[in-house]
Amino acid sequence: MDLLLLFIGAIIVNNVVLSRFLGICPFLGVSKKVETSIGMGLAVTFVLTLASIISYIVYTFLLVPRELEYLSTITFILVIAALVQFVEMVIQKTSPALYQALGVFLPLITTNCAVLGVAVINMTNKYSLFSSIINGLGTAIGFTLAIVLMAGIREKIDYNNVPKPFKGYPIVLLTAGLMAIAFLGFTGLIK
Amino acid sequence: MKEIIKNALILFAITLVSSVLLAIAFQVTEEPISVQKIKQRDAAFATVIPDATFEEIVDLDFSEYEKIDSVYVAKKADEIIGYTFKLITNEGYSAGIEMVVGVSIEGTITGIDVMRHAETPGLGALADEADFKNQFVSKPLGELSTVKGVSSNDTQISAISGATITSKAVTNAVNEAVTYYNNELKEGN
Amino acid sequence: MSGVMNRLKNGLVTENPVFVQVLGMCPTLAVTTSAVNGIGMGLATTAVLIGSNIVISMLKNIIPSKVRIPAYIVVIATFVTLIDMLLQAYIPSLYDALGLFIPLIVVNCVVLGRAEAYASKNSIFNSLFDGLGMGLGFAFSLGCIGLVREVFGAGKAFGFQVMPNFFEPITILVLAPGAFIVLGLLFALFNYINSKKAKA
Repeated sequence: MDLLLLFIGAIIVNNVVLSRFLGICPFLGVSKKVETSIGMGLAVTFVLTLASIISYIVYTFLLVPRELEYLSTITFILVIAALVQFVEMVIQKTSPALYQALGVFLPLITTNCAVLGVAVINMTNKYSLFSSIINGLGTAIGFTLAIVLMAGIREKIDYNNVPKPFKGYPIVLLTAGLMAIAFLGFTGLIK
Repeated sequence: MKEIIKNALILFAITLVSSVLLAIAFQVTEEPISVQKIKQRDAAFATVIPDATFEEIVDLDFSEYEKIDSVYVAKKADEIIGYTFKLITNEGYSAGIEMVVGVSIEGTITGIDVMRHAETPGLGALADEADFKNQFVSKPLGELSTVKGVSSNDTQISAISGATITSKAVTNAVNEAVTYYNNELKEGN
Repeated sequence: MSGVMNRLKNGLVTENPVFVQVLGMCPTLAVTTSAVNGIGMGLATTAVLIGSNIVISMLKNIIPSKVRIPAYIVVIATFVTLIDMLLQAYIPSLYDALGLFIPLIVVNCVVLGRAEAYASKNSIFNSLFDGLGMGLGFAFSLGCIGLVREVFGAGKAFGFQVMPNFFEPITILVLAPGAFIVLGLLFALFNYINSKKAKA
């Protein structure tokens, strides 16, 4: 039951983009088309879930026994960077089209703070391995949900007459603000 | 192949230098950091039970009390006058809230103090203001609950408007400290 | 000397990290609930930026291009952890205000962005001032956003009451949605001023 709450909480109540402000760069940068944003969402889901598992293992079995907790940031970021490199190679080999579409944003998953953020949240909340995975997966689904919704709205905005100073980022940010207000409505769902 | 090895070695060297640097910095700053932490903790303790000396009670079992970090006995002139609890709760709106609660052996809460939090300014952050914290002073050692609006009796804490989650988190942490005191520390147990 | 002024102006205005390059959006939105938090985060980022820019510029001929991203990240993470420990040990009051945000500097794309776009190609001296300029530009932008949110969302500026009593704070501005809305509006204002300038 607790795990279910954690899972739903990570997806909508504490939505990683709209209420925790993690992973904003890809959220703004890759949300122009629904197709690419689904690809980005899947890539992030894969990296985030794996990163939760590996950073849990590294932290619990390598850093804690040797009292090296102060190296956690640097270790997590290295784990993530290696994973991203790996995912990049796999996508390049298996789906050149997706690789083209994601282009510059793939290496940027490294600096997607959602990934490091989840690793750090798992650590500070002392989640077990299973909870860490659930939290990682939930966060990633929340990210995908937010970015795909945003892309859907942006495809429509293109056909509208937006006042000139609001073209581009301003209107996207205002849209994100309205989405965040909608997600704020979920706050009472848990606790 | 040669290139891969060379790249790996350079990256390894950079990581090694970084780790060594951090290890040195850790050695140097370890003591000042723990001194600072004790200072902060003592300052918080002094606001809930003034003019007392505090001593940590070691070897306690907190397995059923997940918010309690440590418990200290407060003495004045070698006589036990109460206990202070250091608590960390993750029920707040943002990251963990670190706080202390004081309990007197006469059966009241002597006060609470919030040491560290990241709640929303203007809302949850008001939990660190006297208006909210003073509500706990002299409350009896029973279960407290939060209410919206004005509290009508001794067991109610008036929640900060717009920050029910923070108010509940703090109150629940206080409740846990009180329960622990009642079950484990109170005279006659 | 003109090179130095040039780097500073570049960071503050021409290539302002927030309003022109749209980098480092996560801390920009997350910590700007008050002016002090915004400026504090900006200054901590400045310290990391200067440090990482200097070191990366020093190592630019040693780091092979294939492993440069992990190498840069290690350098940045080292500086972040160092600053975290030093603040905690020697300036605890500042650490209290910023502690939770410091680890997030590692993933601030401004820092990695400058390493990749500037420090890895330029001299140590110029990289130092590039870091300073970018950092100050970042701190200034975050301070502005924080100030707007604090004044209208809580009725205060730098912790002091500035709005008259009858002013009802627009609480939503200090909550999550307010971050997006204020940034969006400031962006539009920035675009508007720029387009006026272009015409004139």
